[in-house]
Amino acid sequence: MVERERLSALMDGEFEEGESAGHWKRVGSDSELMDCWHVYHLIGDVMRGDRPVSADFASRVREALEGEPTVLAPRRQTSRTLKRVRLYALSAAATVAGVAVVGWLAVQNGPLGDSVGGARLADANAPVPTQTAAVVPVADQQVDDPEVDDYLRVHQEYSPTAVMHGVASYVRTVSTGR
Amino acid sequence: MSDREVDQQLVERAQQGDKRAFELLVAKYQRKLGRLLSRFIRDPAEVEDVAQEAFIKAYRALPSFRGESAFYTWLYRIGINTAKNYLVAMGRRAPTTTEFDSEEAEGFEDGDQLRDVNTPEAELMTKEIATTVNETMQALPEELRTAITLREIEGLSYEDIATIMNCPIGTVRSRIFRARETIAERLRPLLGTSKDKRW
Repeated sequence: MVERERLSALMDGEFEEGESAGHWKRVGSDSELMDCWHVYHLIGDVMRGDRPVSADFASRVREALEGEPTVLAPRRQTSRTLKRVRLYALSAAATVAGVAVVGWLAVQNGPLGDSVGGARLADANAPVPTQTAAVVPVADQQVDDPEVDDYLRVHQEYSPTAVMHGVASYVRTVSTGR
Repeated sequence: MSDREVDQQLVERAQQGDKRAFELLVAKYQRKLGRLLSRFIRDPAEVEDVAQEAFIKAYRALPSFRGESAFYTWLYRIGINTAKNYLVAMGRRAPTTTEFDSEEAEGFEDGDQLRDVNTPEAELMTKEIATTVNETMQALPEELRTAITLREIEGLSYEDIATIMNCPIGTVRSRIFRARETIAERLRPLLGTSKDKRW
């Protein structure tokens, strides 16, 4: 009963493509299912106004087919296979394009890059010195207030701008005039 | 999977040497092809001979079928060419291409002239089958009758039928199956394999 219900859905095209392959084999080898296939189609045809043919028509065709050499055509690619191949091809093309772009950028930005690339790189780095300039230490700025000068002189060793932080207090700069 | 994809699967199986798959296509299209051929061949016996020849030609030509058109369109074209050759060989006038085209053949009306030349036994059997199908249809519970009518007459998908009938697709599938089984039970005693029986 379950098999016949499946056959009924299969003949209406209401079966998943993957499921149908096994079912076709069963229909081909099961005379009861074959009979159902015939009768179900007869019902549909009669409902649509088609006229039945001789009962022995199918068997006559079958006998004639038995005398025919078996057809063995090269397997064609189904639409699903074609879609899969197309998907892989597109993925591969996208990967190659991505690698090419990354490679091209690497060559352009490298030490062997041409002058145009070099100039572009320089342009790209242009803002960096500006940012450095923006954080000029307070101590380097010109401040004319004598009180501030005294304060800075006394606290110089705690200044974060000292190159050797924490060592400055032990270093004494000596200058000699010649 | 559409109806065309069902045919395509059967064709592919037949192309790989599965003759049973081709027999399923014969069972599916034998009456439609017969109806097509009866448009210009009056004798039902001749119609069946030409239909059989068309099926065999189609089987031989399967390796060349690429699935660019629907199987039935391709089969109908073979049927029409076979019928034309048959009529020429019999010294009768073959219909011109403009008179008959396989594409428009799908929607043509039943050949009324066929009824006049059927044998009385065959005609009686044909009527009995049609009456049985119609009577059983009328006796079906309404939900089964509606489901199978929407499928067989309107050609709707299960999804569309489920929407119209406001029920799950699984219920549609079950209703159509039960309708077919009920009609098939009433039909089977009428169906035989002798030459006078119809199928």
